[in-house]
Amino acid sequence: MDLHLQAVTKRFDTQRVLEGIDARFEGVRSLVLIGPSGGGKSTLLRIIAGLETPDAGRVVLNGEAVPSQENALRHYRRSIGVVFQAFNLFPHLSALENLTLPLEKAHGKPREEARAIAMAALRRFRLEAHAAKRPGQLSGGQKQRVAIARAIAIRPRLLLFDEPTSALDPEMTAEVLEVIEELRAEGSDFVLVTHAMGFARRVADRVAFLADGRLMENAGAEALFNRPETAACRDFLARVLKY
Amino acid sequence: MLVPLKPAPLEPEPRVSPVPPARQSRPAEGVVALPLRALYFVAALGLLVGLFYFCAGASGYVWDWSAVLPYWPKFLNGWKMTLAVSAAALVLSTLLGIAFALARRSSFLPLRYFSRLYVELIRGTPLLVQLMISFYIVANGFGVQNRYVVGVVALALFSGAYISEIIRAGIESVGASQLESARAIGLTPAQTYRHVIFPQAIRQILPPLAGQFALLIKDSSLLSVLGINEFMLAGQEVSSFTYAVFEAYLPLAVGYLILTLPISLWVQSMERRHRYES
Repeated sequence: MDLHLQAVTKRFDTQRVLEGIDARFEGVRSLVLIGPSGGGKSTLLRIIAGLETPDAGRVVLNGEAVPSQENALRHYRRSIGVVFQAFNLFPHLSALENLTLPLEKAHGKPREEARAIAMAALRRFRLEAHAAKRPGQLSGGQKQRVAIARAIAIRPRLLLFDEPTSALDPEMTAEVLEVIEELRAEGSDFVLVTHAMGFARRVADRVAFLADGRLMENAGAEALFNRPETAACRDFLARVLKY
Repeated sequence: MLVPLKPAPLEPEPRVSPVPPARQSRPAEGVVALPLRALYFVAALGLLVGLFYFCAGASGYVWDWSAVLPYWPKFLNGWKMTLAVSAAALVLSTLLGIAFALARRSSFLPLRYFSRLYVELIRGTPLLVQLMISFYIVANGFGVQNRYVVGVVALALFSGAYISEIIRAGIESVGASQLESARAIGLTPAQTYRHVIFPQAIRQILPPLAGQFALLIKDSSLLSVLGINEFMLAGQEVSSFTYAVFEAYLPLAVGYLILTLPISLWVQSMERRHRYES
């Protein structure tokens, strides 16, 4: 990916959530955002997803500025796969229908083709046996894998993961992280927000540290984890890696 | 004297079963054998009928069905009129309910105010007053003379206010994360309503809607004040012709039940179809 953040600023009411984020991630396959809660990671991810628009500045993805006008933005969102912390599957639809809905309605694929693509995506994550089940009948790990399958089925140009394992127990976390690692091995571009530092270190080409709405540091995984430059990042890593 | 507290014995941590336990503590109907269920149903019905007969007998009322029997075509015509008027008002009120529920969620403020004003005005005033105003003032103003049209529209406007609130509550019961998901996959607002909001809202909407539909059918009896020859008016007329009060009104009770029960059962079957674990 070539992700260019240009003075991205976001306020909620009077609170500044992002204060002029400037960075360019060129030739990066996997970008991991870390930092304390409330530091602006999720907001930045949502802006990249086209779910929020910045108050100032802009995001340029692969040479194309993320639009701010709703119709163009909807078009843009269709090219991005988002995986949420709380899965956000549609509870009234089966796993398969959760995948075919965006394919048919947002991407205009004919029903049969959508089904074939969806089944292939489910099969890939060993979920074909659960295709007819509704989310209520799946475990947390299975739900999140279905959500990932939904995100990749549309062949997105960028995958975004917003704390994909925060709602899962350790066993299910492993199940989901394996899938993300697989995607990395296949060369999918993604941005991941996570609190799982060990995993961040393993999959990140590049790690960005956000705190207080600022991008304090961004470097290769080894460099950032071994030699953090700012005091804020050092403190943060010391705190989260203590246990 | 204080007894030293004994530490509670350590219990093994309860195993969380992957299947949530059934929410109901009472046995599901399906568990009881069919003949037994039928027997219980007949017993419950018998109890009610027996109670009624006891009361009627104790009052010393002398039943005379022969007096009202010749008027059965009047009952039938009235019943048919109630059926027609209710069906028309039911369809119209559902459309109005959907329209005003969507208007209430519109981003255009005047539309929101209009919807809100409509709901508050209708819910805050008696149907009888609304019927009078509709017929003698509004319909006159528009030059509409057909009392059936006025009756159906007024009844639909009345019920539509309640239905719009039922639908609005259903729509608002769908979580924000669902709307975000729909946005993230790039659905248009119309597609979001069609494929995400309505299929989930319908579960919340159906039970109160069944009650509202039954109310609408019963409220159609008030159209008798406009001189519409519906079921209630038929009963009133027969009662005043024959002085057989109960014999004239009992068929009304049965006739309205014939209309309301199927709706109630139909909505219940829809409810079953839309059931899923959330």
